[in-house]
Amino acid sequence: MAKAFSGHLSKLYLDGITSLSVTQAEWLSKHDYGLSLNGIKSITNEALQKLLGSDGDEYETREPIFINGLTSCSDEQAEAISKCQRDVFINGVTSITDKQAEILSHHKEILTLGGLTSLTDKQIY
Amino acid sequence: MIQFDENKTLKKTKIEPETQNPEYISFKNKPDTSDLKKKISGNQRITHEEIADLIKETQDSKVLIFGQEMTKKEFKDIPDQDLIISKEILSGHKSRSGLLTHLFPDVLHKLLNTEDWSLIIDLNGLDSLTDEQAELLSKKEIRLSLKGIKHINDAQAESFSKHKGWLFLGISAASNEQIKWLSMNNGHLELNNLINLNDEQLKSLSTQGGG
Repeated sequence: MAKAFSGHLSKLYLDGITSLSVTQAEWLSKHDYGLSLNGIKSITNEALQKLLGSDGDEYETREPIFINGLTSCSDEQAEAISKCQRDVFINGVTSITDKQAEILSHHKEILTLGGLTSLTDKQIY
Repeated sequence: MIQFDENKTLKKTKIEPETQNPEYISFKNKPDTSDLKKKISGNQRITHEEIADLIKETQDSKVLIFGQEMTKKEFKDIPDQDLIISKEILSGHKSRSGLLTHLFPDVLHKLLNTEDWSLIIDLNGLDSLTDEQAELLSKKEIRLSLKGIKHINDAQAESFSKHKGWLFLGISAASNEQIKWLSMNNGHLELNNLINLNDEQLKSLSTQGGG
């Protein structure tokens, strides 16, 4: 209980970081509480999988992660996000394909894509 | 030094550091000078509280109060260089402007005496801290913003490890040991000026918040 309470109050802001190696992403994935990495503008698929804990490792639902510096999203990254068991904020992404929208729809927590400038009917449904 | 000019406004002249007395009131923005002039006319002693009451009538004025009396001459001799704190902080409300550039013991004591848990102590104007100041500030469960602090030493990092609440530091580099200390912080920890972190440091930070 104490841990849960402190977790609610905890958040780590490292918005100055602009890139992450796979190893570094793996380390940060172990941070259970809020994590802000808004300086990252691009990241490899593997590093994002590690960072989001969506590479097969089992994680309980955790605090949000903010990667609002990302401006684009590959299909593999959409897969990684969809499997992530934490709220994901990627408001820097301005467009996604229909396929990516379908993949992202499987994400079970909160996902914000506030930077999208257009949506097709297919993406909405 | 602040003096009244012909237009009844405050202007400053340079004071050498060795002549500065930290225990005064200081203004950065121009207060309601007509009221103040009236109040301090003559040589009667006036209190900081009296001045503060006047200052509170002006929305933009900022004042530091030490609870000590001063004469008209003392009031005129106020240096306008450093001891500035917004009245929002003094009254225990949130402040979004870091105007304090030096911390003297009385100021620190006043800041830490508040019982307002929602208080934001915004000291972004500070570019250095003593170890004792870091230790005292870290004891309070507050939102503590120190974005002007670019470097800390190991002792200060250890103090900040015990801080509860929000902690914003402007450090742009830190040793592994310092990061290890900071990672023990259980609140919101903002280190956005850190650009290069090595694997060891990220490993430490992954445990921040008890993770």
